[in-house]
Amino acid sequence: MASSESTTTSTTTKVLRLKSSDNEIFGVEEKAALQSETIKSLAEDGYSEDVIPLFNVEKKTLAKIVEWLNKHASGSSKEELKRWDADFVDVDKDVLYDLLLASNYLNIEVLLHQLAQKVADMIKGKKPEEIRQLFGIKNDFTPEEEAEIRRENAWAFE
Amino acid sequence: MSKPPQDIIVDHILTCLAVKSLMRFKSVSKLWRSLISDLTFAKSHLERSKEVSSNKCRRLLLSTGTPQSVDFEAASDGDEDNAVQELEYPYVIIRCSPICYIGIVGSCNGLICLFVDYEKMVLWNPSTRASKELPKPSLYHNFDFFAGLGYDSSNGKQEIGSKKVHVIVSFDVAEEKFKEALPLPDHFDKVVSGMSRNFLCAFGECYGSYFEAWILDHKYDSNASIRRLFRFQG
Repeated sequence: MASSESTTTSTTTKVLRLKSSDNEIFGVEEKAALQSETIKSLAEDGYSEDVIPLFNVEKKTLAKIVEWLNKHASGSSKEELKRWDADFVDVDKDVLYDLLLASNYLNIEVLLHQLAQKVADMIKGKKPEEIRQLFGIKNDFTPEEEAEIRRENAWAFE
Repeated sequence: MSKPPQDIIVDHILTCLAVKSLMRFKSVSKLWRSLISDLTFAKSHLERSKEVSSNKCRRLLLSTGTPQSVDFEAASDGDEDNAVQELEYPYVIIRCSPICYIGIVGSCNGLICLFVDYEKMVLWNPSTRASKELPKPSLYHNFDFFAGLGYDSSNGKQEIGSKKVHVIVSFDVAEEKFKEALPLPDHFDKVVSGMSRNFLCAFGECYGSYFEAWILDHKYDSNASIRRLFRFQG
């Protein structure tokens, strides 16, 4: 990893140090890290020389995020990125939710959209009762109300 | 097990879903029903669909006996099973059969304005299958009538412009009120209405000698006005 203390040449890549909530430090090239709007504003607020604390992201999730940031700053072709992204979001539900939360907190719009699209693809064919179970939502309709809504939208259940 | 918070579900996940899934998910809970039915949600859903792929939300609607919707994306991908979908006209129309004529007079952002048997105007959203019959304009009294549908981005409302000879009447769909009656120049013998970007316009012909296009301008908080876009000689 290139050192941020290096003073010899102006071409040295600046590395930002990101700290997870469980105190693991990741060094990430500035160009890659600044894809996160949250990191960008923290860096502008003067954190860039020190460690940037990310209180809401655990190391296992931050490791994945850093992997994404690096890949998306690597100049890969569009086709390659597309394949890579498809593999990246192909994870189990809990990991997906953690990544979703982290990308929302870190404000990485492109990643957030990719993850949201993945969840949407996962739930699009499901029944309302499966959605409730998946997201832990309580059904607060009376049986009559629920039947009424189902009748109004009967075609959507075909 | 962790769950994504409500705001992520609504702002990011639900906006990715097709309308059919959303209609089904209205019965998940009261909160989901009100969120999905909300105007702000409808707007972000529309924006998101346009953002992802302009072709994905593009349809060609054919006003055949059974209306058919052609999905541009499926058609261009050679997906013949999903390229053409048969629809059903809204119940407000079908129940008054027999019907002689149903014409599409305008469309905007997925909303369709239908003109039925030369007397009834119905606003129709084929995606949600919702529909609404519109009141008749006060100036309306013969067949010499044209209409178009536009979107007033200043307030997020749809507007229908209906035009009898030489007068433009605009109907605010959100307020369900007829608004302005603007006189068109009186040198036309034929006028049809249309859309340019999101503005209503009128194309007038003066006995074959020249053609003109006029556009309806909307200024924030002020009355509409019309101005000439161009003229060409016939």
